[in-house]
Amino acid sequence: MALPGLRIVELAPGAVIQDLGRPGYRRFGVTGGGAMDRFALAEGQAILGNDADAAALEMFATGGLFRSEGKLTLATSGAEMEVSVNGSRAPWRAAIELGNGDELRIGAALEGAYGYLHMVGGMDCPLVLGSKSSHSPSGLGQIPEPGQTLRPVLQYSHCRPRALDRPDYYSRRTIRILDGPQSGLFSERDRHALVSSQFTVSGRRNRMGMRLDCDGGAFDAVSGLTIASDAIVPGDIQVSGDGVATVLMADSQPVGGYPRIANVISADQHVLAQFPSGTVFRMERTETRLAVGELMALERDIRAMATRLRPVVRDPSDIGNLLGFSMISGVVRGDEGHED
Amino acid sequence: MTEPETDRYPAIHQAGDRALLVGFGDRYAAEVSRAVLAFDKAMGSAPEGVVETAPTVRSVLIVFDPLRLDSQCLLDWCRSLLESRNWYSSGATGQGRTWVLPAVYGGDAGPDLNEIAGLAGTSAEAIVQGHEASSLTVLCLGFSPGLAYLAELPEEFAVPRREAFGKPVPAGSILVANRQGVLPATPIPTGWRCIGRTPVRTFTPGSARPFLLSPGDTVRFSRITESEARAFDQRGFLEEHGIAGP
Repeated sequence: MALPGLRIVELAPGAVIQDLGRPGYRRFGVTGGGAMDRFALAEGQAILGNDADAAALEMFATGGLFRSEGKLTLATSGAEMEVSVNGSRAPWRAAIELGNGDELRIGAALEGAYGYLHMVGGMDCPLVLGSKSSHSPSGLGQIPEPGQTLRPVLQYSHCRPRALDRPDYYSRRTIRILDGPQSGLFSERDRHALVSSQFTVSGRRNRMGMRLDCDGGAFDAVSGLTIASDAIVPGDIQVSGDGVATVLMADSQPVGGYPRIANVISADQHVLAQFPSGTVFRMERTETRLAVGELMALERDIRAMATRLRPVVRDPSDIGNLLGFSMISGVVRGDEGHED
Repeated sequence: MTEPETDRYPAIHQAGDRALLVGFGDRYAAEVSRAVLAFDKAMGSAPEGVVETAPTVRSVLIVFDPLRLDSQCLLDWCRSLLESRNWYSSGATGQGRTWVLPAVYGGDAGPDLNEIAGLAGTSAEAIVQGHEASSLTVLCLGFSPGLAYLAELPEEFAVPRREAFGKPVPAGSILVANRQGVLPATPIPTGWRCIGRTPVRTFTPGSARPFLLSPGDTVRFSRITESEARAFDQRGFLEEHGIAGP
């Protein structure tokens, strides 16, 4: 019998395989990559008991249609998307059991931008330069598309179906920034505009960068100064020749020639990534010490994810066929909540 | 062209909360690149918690894990390394390996050869000879996986890039502008002019040595015919350079 897998029937544009990325190859011109929302990636790993670097399917704004070949345990995480199994609504940020031939549909995001689909042990994709992450612009890693079958690394799971509560960062509307090596090239007016203006996430966004509209108008494209290419790090806010600010994200190129006015702190990059297009937000200048403190808090939250697991609780009205639903997985035992 | 500004350099800046950027100049210059490559090499003895370093044409990026290494400690460490000597007077840039890459010039492989010759007011043959005679330093790799920036080419290659990007050029295209060279390892759209192509694959993701070139290596090109290029054997080339397959 063929190994169980998940056949991709339809897939929205922008879907990629992502893990923690491929650090260490920047000196060879390779972007770090990795999940746009590391917290969301960690949610799925916790639900399935996966390693931190297991690969998942990252979906932008909407998911796709999938068909199970054999029996599968999956998990969803990140931005909540409409999800159903054979037409019946299924819970988000939770484990999903599929039987042979079951149809999984992941629709539009109800909040946020990036949702994730996980398999037990992670997706079994080729490892390229130490990572399974797809890098579409250079063709690194597996690029998921309809017709492919995604297979789990492990054939079955020992974990009981679990779920996580929605984290609160989806409602945040302030992003913290640090001055960078080229901030001094910008006028006092521009540097003030950065923290006093309202920004809107435009539709021109992808894993490389998010172009922002600014209610304070355009920035001064650093006048008359041609900047020789310099290193880019994720979170850099570049100002292009037309005075538009773009935040460079996980798949940004290692070097670039536009000046950078500031950098979004590491602990806020996933928050920004999850803003749906059209989100209005502000920026707030902070200092390195605080940024590192926030990153420590985020890492602590990620490491403690498994302690926040809870049983999957399902609303009976969402269950199309009560008799076909394994009631065992919905039972609250009362002694759960902590992973041993 | 004005002289690069040097009084503000070298300079160390925080680049976000998990990287430092050590700048050696505001643009490419031979002595800036020598300083960059020598400093990048010296970073090999960096404290634990440094994740990776990457040179650019004018700076060295130092990526670290702020949860394992305090940024102020790293900053102090880098500052004392920086002050330990004059990096601009570092020795020859060729600290790495020397590669002689076979190349087909002109024709379909190098559609812009005649245009370069016209802009330089010389013959295509003179351009090819000038290119072959150049010993080029790999300044850095960037923009796309394995894409190498090479310098410095003779005066006749002082042509600007095109304003607009053309259709993508194949991997191995020999691109020139502003007395620099670019050797892409994957197909890329570009405004640089293409004078030839090497059959050597400089990026082979599945192999034991995925990237052939490293920053600081020296590259020269050696003219071959189109039929020699068709018969080119990557494995044989690697063996000649002491690299076992696959």
